[in-house]
Amino acid sequence: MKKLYAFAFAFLILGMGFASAASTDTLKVKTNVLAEEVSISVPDEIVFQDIAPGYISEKQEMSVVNMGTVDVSVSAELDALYEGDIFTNLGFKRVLADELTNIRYFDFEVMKPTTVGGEKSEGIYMYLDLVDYSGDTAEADHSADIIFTAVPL
Amino acid sequence: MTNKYFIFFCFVFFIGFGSCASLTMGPQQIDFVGSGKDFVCQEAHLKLEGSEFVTGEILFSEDGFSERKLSRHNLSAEEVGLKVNFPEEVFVENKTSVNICVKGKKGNYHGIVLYRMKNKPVRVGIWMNVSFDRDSSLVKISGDAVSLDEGEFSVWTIPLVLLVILGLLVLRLKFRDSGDETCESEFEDY
Repeated sequence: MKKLYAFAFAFLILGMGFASAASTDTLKVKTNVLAEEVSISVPDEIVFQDIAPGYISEKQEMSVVNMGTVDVSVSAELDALYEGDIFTNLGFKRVLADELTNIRYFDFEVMKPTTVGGEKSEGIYMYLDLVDYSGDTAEADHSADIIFTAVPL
Repeated sequence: MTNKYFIFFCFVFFIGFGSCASLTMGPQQIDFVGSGKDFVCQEAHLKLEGSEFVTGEILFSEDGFSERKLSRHNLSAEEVGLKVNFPEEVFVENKTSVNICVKGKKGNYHGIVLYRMKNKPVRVGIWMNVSFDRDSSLVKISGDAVSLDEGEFSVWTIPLVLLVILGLLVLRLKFRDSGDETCESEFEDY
């Protein structure tokens, strides 16, 4: 009896397979094409260690992540509301061998991810260069907002 | 040894919690084509995780510059002679659409729509191409008369020209009729 049930079950499975193959004579292809998007992610905060005028800070590594579907150009700028002068001396490098580029002139490219929904990150190095700084030297905590802007290439 | 593992797991744990700001905007380019007399509108979308206020601005390049270089786009819409209508502050909850409308004088303009998350270090932008051609289809009929920038004049030009032509035709018909009558009377006399 058990054998009979097993045979019946096997035929049922086999029959279902044939039925589904025979019921359609074409292969339907479906996809969802997503709209092109510009999307980046950057860290909220970077903290430099203690520094004094006449010195350059230790490098701070950070990553800008492209999560969109287009290659982007990313530039950095100080918030327009920033009134101090310490952080106008921020500099960036893409690779350690590069010359330090001041924040006003720094931009770089982050290519789109290789797969849709994926991420592509680009690491950069940030420095606070106070070697030639001659502004306010009073000991105090300083902070400023930096904006990273991504636009399609 | 156990301590080393503990430190490693703590490190991984805290990396996971490292906060980032991200913002998405699309499509990568929007085109505005029209006469420029009425607002031409296009839609863009903004996406972020959770909900947040974003602030927007639109900047244009100098006349004739159409390269995708952000630093060369530093003029306001008014400065290039355009009027733009768009939400300068938007509350985005996961995904939100924004409607951007432009009108203005004839010409080609290259601009960028930028949105920034409030109090966050991230801003994204999409390019905009504006092409306003006041002449549109009327130029073939009436030539330069309607290619002037002041649209009011062009609206009245065509009816006026048509009225003048109609008047001339009526006059000509009248003269012809009177001429025929004269000939007929002369013929009868003959």
